[in-house]
Amino acid sequence: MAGKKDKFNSDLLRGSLDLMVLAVLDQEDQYGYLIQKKIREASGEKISMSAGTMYPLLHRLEGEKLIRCRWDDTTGRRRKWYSLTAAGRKRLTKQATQWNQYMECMAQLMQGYFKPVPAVKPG
Amino acid sequence: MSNDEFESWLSLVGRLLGLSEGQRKQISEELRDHLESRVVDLMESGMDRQAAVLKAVEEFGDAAVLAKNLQSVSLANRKRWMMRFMTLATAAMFLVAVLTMAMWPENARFGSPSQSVAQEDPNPFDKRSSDNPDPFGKNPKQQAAAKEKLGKPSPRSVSRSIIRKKLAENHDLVYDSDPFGDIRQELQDALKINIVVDANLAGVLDDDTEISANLTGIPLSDGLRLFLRRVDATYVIQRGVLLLISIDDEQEPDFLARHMIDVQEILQLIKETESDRVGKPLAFHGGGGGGLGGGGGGRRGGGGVFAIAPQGFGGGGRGGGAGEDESKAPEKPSVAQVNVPVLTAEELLVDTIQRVVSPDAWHQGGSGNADLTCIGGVLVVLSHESLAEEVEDFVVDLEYQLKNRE
Repeated sequence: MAGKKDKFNSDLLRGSLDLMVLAVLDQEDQYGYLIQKKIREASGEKISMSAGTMYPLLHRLEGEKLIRCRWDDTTGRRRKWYSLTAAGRKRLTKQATQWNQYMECMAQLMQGYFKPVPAVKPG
Repeated sequence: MSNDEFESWLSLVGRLLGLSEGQRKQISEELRDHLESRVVDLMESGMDRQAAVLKAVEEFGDAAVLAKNLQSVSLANRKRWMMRFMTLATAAMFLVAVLTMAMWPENARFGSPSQSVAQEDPNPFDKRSSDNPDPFGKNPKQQAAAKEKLGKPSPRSVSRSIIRKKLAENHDLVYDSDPFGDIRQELQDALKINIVVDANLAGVLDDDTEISANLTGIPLSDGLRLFLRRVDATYVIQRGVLLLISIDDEQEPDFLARHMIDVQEILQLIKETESDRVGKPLAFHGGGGGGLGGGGGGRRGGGGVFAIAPQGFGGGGRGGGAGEDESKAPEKPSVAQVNVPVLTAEELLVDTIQRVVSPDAWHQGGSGNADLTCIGGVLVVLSHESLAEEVEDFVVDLEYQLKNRE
């Protein structure tokens, strides 16, 4: 497990949390705890979005109609599942484009410091 | 931390939320699922339940901060929903208002498409329609209903009226030996009217014909006639173009156009001011020299007036349709109901126009081809442009005189 010193600076994370949640939900429907877990695992424990941050964020995205929810109790426990809406997917596409341009810009500015991003393994 | 404390933490968050019971319950259920899932994970990694519960709650952070954040999001969502609702409600109200205005019978601006076409002023001669939209003192609803009945004029009438309106505007014609082709192009561009020269004017009015004129401050119609007169030409409006023709051809049936003038108001004035003549049998004034031209009585069935037949009837040589052959009349006077033609305001108006406005131009009583009739309060003139304008001027002037009579 990574120590606290290895975690991302909160200033760096601000503004990209929405994108992270939308990206996770783009893969498949998730419930709150799984979203948090996926982000933590994808970042190699460097991002630990607290539940206190994540649930208000999920409720805000739901209010903006970027995600939708449904309740399911087939597992014996009542659980709230989230999925991406068409508007959410559109927002994700737009933000991902901006993010790519941002990375290119940073790479240009930080020549000598910037390491190429490893290719994402499919699946 | 026991399960009881787990429940108390959730209960505390619920109380701090300050939302509705339903919202509190849903949030509590979601948070409980999260906590329980986390506890299961932690226990699978080797923690005992009490330590797992403690850690799961600790990871959630301060209950008050969480509740505050969730509450502000909920309020923001509600505000967003309200804004959306207000926007939709405003849009719906605006739509209703626009539709109401459009459907409102008194609102002529939002009339049907056909009425919009009618607003092009299909009858440029009817100046009273804009100056005095209420000739009979009707209330606005009646006026609106009357306008609704206007219907749609024919496209040719609309295009003709548009050209007439343009010609009625002042336009300076100042030229010094300018080629007519240039003048024609300039007028076409300025007025957005196609100007065509009739073949009969070839050699008289060609593109290279030099034109000199100094006509300012007068309507284009008058200016055009004056400057065309120098080459014995004039104009007619035909099939949406301004056709320049020879003055000799002006009277030709091909160049006569139909003009309509609303004369309802003037007919009413005539009835009032000529009450001693209008509606009275023609026989009573037919022989007095000032009567109408022949033919009027022959078109009608008569007024059904009681009269003493045959004495005093048909004295003016008038061709009355109801007149009987005097030779067959009984010798003794007897009272009987006979069809006696009566003078109408329409006939009086038509007759007067034919007597005082270019008398020779009319088919009736003259040698020309122009025709004039009055039907349904509309004066229908079949004539060339300048004669129609003269008739219009006369009607306007006569109405003015009748209205301003002491």
